[in-house]
Amino acid sequence: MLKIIGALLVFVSLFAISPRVSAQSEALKSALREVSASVNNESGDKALKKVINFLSLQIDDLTKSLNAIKGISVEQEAIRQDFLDFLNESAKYLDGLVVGSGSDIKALANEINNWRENAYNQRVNKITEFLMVLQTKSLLKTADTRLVKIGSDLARLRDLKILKDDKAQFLFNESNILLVAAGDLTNQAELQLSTTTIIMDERKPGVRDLVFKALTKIQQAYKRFIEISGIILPRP
Amino acid sequence: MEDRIIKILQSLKLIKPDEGFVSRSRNTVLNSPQNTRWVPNLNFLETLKFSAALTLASALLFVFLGGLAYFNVKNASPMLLSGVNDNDLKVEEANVDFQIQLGEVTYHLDSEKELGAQIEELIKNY
Repeated sequence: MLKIIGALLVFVSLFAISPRVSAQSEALKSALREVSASVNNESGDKALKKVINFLSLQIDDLTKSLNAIKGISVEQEAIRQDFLDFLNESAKYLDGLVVGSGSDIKALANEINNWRENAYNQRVNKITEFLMVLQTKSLLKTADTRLVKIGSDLARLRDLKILKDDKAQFLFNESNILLVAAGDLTNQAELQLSTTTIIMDERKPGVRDLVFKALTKIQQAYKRFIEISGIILPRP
Repeated sequence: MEDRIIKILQSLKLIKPDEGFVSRSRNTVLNSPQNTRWVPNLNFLETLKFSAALTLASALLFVFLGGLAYFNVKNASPMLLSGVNDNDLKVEEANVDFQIQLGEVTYHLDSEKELGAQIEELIKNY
């Protein structure tokens, strides 16, 4: 019974943490599915309107995500404002497109595609990377706080001579190393964000790679935290 | 010699205090606060407060002296070990997994090619 309640708590908490994220991802996925279905089955103007709808949703989503960020540096605040201005201009551009049954669909589709390839996609990638780095920083902060708490628990249990198992300490040390490495990777990613002129070097990992490596390290640290929890509070 | 001493002692018996002194002393004695007999204070709330304080102090002393070591760690309160609290840990871990696999931000990168392909298809159709 306790296990069921515990699982329910985890499930509910997960959705409590990222309700907006899940809903938005679903809305975007649904909008993209509508584009795919429309391109082959509906008239050109309808399909194009769905393309514009998807892009508008994406702009709205990115704007909300950028506005939701808290506790950033002055430099990052300037970057955020720059991104918000760009998204605002992009929304105006899309609002200005007139698509009707008599429109030249081929010309409009070409125009939108050129705009995406020459202006929009590159900035969206930058915004996405910016959001990824800041979200990873936030997760890392939570993981670091957890590490300190677990360290405090282990020290207390050792003082009380309850904990005599060296494995828990070993796992704790490993998680510490992993989180330090994750912090280093996140810092590298953040540095790349703030560098305005990035010399593209194929051999060097990009922001996305660095962030995923950092997240993997944080994930590995949590695996160890759970192992420590299993040693200290063995399940029946 | 002995008779003389006896006479002196008998004369001492006749010494009486001054009337004024007697009156002042009586007033002083009668006006002084009276000692009452000690009665235990049986106020319920006070007793409860005292008991609670005593219990808490005993518990703290027990913990301070390493009393928890007498118990198995399995029985220790999760509140005492907040760092290894299982549910919180799993929520945080799941959030990291979510960021890696389903994160909204990665969707923007993944959708770029798919939308481009759909627009190309639309251009081809016209």
